Amino acid sequence: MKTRLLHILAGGLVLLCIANGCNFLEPKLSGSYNDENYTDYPQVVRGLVEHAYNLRPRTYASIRYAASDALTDNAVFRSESNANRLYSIGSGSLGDSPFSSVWSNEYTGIYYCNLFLKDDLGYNTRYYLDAGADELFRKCLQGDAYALRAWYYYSLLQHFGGEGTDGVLYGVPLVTEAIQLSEVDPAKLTRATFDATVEQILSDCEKAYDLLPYNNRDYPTDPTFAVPVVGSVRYTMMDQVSVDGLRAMVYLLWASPAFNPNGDKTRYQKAAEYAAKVIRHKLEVEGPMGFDPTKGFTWRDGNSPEAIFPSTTYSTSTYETTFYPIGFGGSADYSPSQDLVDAFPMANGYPITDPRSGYDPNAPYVGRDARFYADILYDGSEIIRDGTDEVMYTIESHEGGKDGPKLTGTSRTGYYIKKFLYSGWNSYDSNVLSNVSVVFFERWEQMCLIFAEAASEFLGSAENASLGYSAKEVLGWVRARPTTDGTPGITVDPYLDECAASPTLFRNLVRNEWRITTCFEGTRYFDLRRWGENLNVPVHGAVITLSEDGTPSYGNTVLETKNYPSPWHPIPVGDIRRCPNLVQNAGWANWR
Amino acid sequence: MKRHYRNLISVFAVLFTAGVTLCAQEAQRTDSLVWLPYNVSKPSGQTTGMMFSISPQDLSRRVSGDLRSRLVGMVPGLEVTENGGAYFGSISSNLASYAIGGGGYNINMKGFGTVVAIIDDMLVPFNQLLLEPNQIESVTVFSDVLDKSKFGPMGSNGNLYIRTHRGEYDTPLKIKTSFDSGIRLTERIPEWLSGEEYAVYNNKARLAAGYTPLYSDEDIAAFQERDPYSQTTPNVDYQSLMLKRWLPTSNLNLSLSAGSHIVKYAFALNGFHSGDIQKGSADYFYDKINYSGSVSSRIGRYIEAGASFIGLFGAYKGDRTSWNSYRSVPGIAFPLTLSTTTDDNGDEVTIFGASKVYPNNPYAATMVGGYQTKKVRSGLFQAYVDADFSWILPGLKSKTSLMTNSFVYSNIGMNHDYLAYYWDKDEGVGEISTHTGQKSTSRSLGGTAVAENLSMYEKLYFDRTFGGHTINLGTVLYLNRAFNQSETDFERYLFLVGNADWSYGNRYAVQFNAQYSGSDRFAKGSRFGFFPSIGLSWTVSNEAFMEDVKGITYLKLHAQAGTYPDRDNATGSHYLYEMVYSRASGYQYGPTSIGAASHWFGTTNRASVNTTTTQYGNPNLTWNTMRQIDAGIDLTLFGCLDLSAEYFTWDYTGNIADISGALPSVFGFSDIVAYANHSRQGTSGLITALQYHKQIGDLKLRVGASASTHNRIYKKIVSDFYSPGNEHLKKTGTSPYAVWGLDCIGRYTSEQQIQENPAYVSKDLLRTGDLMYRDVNGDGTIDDNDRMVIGNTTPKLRYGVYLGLEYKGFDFEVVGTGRWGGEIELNSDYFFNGWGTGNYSAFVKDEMYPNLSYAKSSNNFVMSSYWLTKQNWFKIQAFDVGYTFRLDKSLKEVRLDIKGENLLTLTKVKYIDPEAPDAGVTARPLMRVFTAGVSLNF
Repeated sequence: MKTRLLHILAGGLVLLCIANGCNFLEPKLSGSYNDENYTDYPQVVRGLVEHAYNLRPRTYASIRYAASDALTDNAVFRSESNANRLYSIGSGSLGDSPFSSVWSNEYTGIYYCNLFLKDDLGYNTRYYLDAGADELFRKCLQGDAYALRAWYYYSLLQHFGGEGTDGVLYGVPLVTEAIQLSEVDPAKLTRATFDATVEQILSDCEKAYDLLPYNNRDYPTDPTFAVPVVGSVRYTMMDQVSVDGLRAMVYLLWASPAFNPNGDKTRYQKAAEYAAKVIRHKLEVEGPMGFDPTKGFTWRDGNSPEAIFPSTTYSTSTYETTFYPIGFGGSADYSPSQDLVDAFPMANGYPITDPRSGYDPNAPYVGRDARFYADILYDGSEIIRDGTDEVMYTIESHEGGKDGPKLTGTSRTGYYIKKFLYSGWNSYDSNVLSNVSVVFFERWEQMCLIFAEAASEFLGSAENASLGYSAKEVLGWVRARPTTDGTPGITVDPYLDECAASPTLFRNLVRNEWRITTCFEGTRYFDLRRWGENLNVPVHGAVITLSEDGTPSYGNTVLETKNYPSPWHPIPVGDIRRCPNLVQNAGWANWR
Repeated sequence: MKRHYRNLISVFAVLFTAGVTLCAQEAQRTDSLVWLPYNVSKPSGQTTGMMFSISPQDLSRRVSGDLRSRLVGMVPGLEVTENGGAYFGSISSNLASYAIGGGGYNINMKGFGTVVAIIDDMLVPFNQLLLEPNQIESVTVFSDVLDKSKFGPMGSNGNLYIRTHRGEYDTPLKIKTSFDSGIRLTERIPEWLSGEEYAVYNNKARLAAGYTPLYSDEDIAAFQERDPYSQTTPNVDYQSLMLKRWLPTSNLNLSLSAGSHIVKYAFALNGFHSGDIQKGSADYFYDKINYSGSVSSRIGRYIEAGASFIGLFGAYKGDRTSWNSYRSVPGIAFPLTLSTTTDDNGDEVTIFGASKVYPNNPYAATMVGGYQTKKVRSGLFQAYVDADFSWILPGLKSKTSLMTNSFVYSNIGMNHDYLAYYWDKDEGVGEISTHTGQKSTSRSLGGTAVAENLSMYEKLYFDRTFGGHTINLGTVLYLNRAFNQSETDFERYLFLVGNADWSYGNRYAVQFNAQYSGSDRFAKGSRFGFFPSIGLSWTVSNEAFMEDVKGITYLKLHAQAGTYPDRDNATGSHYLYEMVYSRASGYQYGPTSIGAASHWFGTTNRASVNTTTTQYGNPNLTWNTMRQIDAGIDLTLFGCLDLSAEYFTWDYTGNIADISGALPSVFGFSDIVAYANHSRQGTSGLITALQYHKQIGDLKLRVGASASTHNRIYKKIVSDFYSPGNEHLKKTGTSPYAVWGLDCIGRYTSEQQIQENPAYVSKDLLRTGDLMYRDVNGDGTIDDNDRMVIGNTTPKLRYGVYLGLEYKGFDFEVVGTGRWGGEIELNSDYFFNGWGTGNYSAFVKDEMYPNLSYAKSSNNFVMSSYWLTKQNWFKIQAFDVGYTFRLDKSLKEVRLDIKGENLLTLTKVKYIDPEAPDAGVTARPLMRVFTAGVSLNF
């Protein structure tokens, strides 16, 4: 009996084990947000879109913006061994491209948007107790996800779109779903055509437009105003106005000669229409609020009226430590070229090559356009402390001067960047002040230039009936605009009238205005390519020699010659290796 | 004809003793029993794998200390490598690891990871028990796939299956006791320069870098006085002041066992004591007490039940500083002591020397700086019930067993500080240094660890023999739950093993085993895997047609093939299959409030939330799969020459790895980890053994040798990218043990050579005598793309030799092991030193040392083929000489013996030990041991 009992016990033990075996291997709760519980946390869900916003850059002082001008004839890197410089003169090493981090950063942003959009997860989550606020907020976030995705695809298209090694005009791979690990098949990844990518961007813009609020400002008379959800609390996120601005930028890119093989003018038309919409908003809606196109603006103001779609802000002195010469506490990493300096017209609006301008080669810095004095530091310019008359530093970039070429930490060109700098910063102060850094992804002058280019290509420069503004008029606003310190622009502009009569002259004028208005804002590199202009040009620096009595004589010298195998930017080597069916851009076939 | 045979045999005998490895053990023969998993014994004719048994008597013939050191050269294919003289490492906080390695030993078989010890069918972290031979009943070593598979995923790297001693039924009381004592001598400790030599070479280094030398000729002459207390030109020999050359060791064992018809029991008590090589403020020691007890009884006709307990107490008192701190400062850095003073209590306190450049005085740190005491307590309790169900079905039986194991470790010490003042060569005694002589008033906790393990299994099986056929069928359900606080980890697995064996007449055997295993590391739905294996053997010599064949006394062919899961691959973190999100605060939205802000459109702002995915989920993550095939032959010729050989090949696929590097960043995988079953590695190799045994009158002779070879290669890894022209960077197909570095083609002999050839650093930093490298990919520069496989730390051949003699009461055995082929990297800080203010090793004087300079040469001290040397070595690892008296009284046997370990090393490698390149440098030096002892059997 005892043995039988023991046997039954043993058998029972076995059965107990088998029954428990199913739960026996269950691990403890991990305590982290995972697929099973994260949908229960609205903060985590909305954090997906907000994280995608946080991936945008916040400073111009990086290779994405200001330093990219040194890849063109606008500026030059100080260090001869700088990897980006070597890339631009054709001696870069395989895999070292300036924008490879853009590829992974933008696709990460797209990934988070896709996660949010998956199965309408974000749209179906409850964020606020108040039903009205929740409804608004859900729509805003959903619109944000689409708009951001469109934004990132535009950025990718701008950087990496181009002709592939097989001759097809490609865009970038389109990923619109957050994919499961088991479904990842690198061999299936291919680049969509340029047109297909544009379609994707525009379709996302459509969807976003239907969901987003009109504009992220607090308008006292706006009846839909709801404090915690829409209004200025959403400033730096997207709204309908910035979506229109994005559409204008996309259409202009698509209409440009390099990407428009059939010369389809309706693309210019759409670009002009959207740009006009944004211009109208700025003038008519924001005008009464405080936007005045006839006043200057400051770069170091995150709330500047100039902004249409800005980034978030942070306090920094990176601009100063990057642009100033070593004598004033900076490292002059890249600096303007003589070619950029020569692009600025005289104060009367005529380019310096025109005899009517009054340009004096022996006094080249006298009587120039106001933007020249606001953006460039040249030999003899003084750095004056903000709000006072104190001269903190004088640039001496002639041969033998303390900021002259061929010294450590000084520019090779004889010029330094002044744009973006905060003149209240002085590294020798006991309490060094720094100021806000913000990137205006879309701004007023940029929209004006988009309109001017698009409308003139599509309609002609003086026609204003269908769009409400004419290209000539809008370009005039840009040229007439005062700079930050109030120095007036080109108010009387006979050269503009002259150019308006000839499409070729006007086109060149618009392109030059792009160059000087948006210098160091990261547009020149892409503008040259979309216009199909020659990239492989020599870049000059100034040579200023002082005679015995101190009078300077001005010459210039070729510092380097750009050498690109093709107008297109290479797709990062890492993904080319991982995806056998991803076509590399023409000219970079050995980057694999 | 017979003469030819005899000549052949003697030629073989000579050849074999000349240099092949010897194994101490015979491969299994028809009539010997092998102990198999779950306490099953089978004659070797019914097994299908290569198995070796080690008896406790063989283990007791080796120097005591740690069971692992006794395993050196014992069994073919069991590779025991000593990394440091460190059984002190047995007392440490990471003993919760299951690997039997650690504590200075690596134990591997067939190129797998570290072997595990399975004690009484339970996976117990070996370091928590440290068994002694008198607690062991049998040890079976196996690594073939079907044999390992009986233990589910536990035994994936090869097993030491240990059964503890439980006594025997119907035997009178047996008492055994032994005592031995001896000394441990430090083997080679690579030398560092004495003070006066350091001064000479330091001057040279400074001159070479353009600095003025610090030591004048008068200084150097004064240093040769070797006065550590000189206040102007001190020269201290730290090594002799801080390290001992030998330490005592002793060991006491006592065991008793007995059994009646119904009850059997066994008890054991072992104590071990040794000193430490560091001199310190107190006597440092290492003590270990092992005790165990087991009682089993037959209850009725059908049940046997028992319980056993094995416990360990260990204590180590040692210094707080590392043993090699003696060489952290040059001998001439500062005087040993400056003066004395009295402290607040009126006691005399020594003021030690220090300097701004060398702020720590190593002698003071050990003498006055306190100590640490590490203690472990560990206990394993096991209960089992074996039941015979033959009243239901003849041959049906069951085994049930429950085991619980717990382990506690603590490290408590006193952290005193010494008093030191700065001293300068020119200015003399200065101000007080950062060591202010603060005496700690309370003990400080250096660390604690706790581990627990609970396992149980139930085996139901059926054995029948009829008409020459033997059938065994069985199924085992096994559960294991472990908790290791030192690793803040827990592990659970569950497996079901079913086996079906058939054998006929000790000639044919077929075994089939299937394993269904699950682990808590995987998501529901992917936890379990099914892994079958099969084994076949044919004992040809038992066939009728072989009876007439003279010369072949025994011939067995065997093979096994199968799959199983690798437990090591599933003991990483939990939740690798989960998609993990994390939340943090992000940037501020709304109008900015910093700087000259204009709030023309509102003031409300808020912080955003950043949600990031840190790990990408993969619910399909599951076990990897190891596939293994073993095929071998066992042969005995002429009754005295035994040969075994086994060829094996194994391959694991689907290894869990982070594959985010192989995924395109287009999918957003940039800052994420993503685990998948992805990688593959594999190897194949050969294990061979031969033994010659002969009895000539009263003399018994046994000579043996074994050799094994295998390497391991990557077959698939995560991202193996290389640009065209750089195929040498391809990692797939190379070994994980390969050494990567630049290819050194000599040293620069002239300035012209420096200018003409591409260089690793900028040419103005190079001098003649610096190392010159090859531009492998021909791109004109030497950079990381010119790194290639320059060697392999895996030897081409591992071998062992054994010689045993018995004559009347005397017995003698000697064991040696060695390696041939493969490389050793000479890049420890014994070789890479000589710049800045660091101390200089004696290698600086060697002609192989590239240019000595105060500024570190970034060209010379990078891994390249210059810093490799061949690994060939041979060591006499152990010997034992004894004499046994046999008596007829209650005291039955007395044996006196002398044992030794680590006796002789033959190699061309200079300075360091070739088996343990870090021993004496960073790891503790290897110890040469001699003990003499007596053992009594009652």
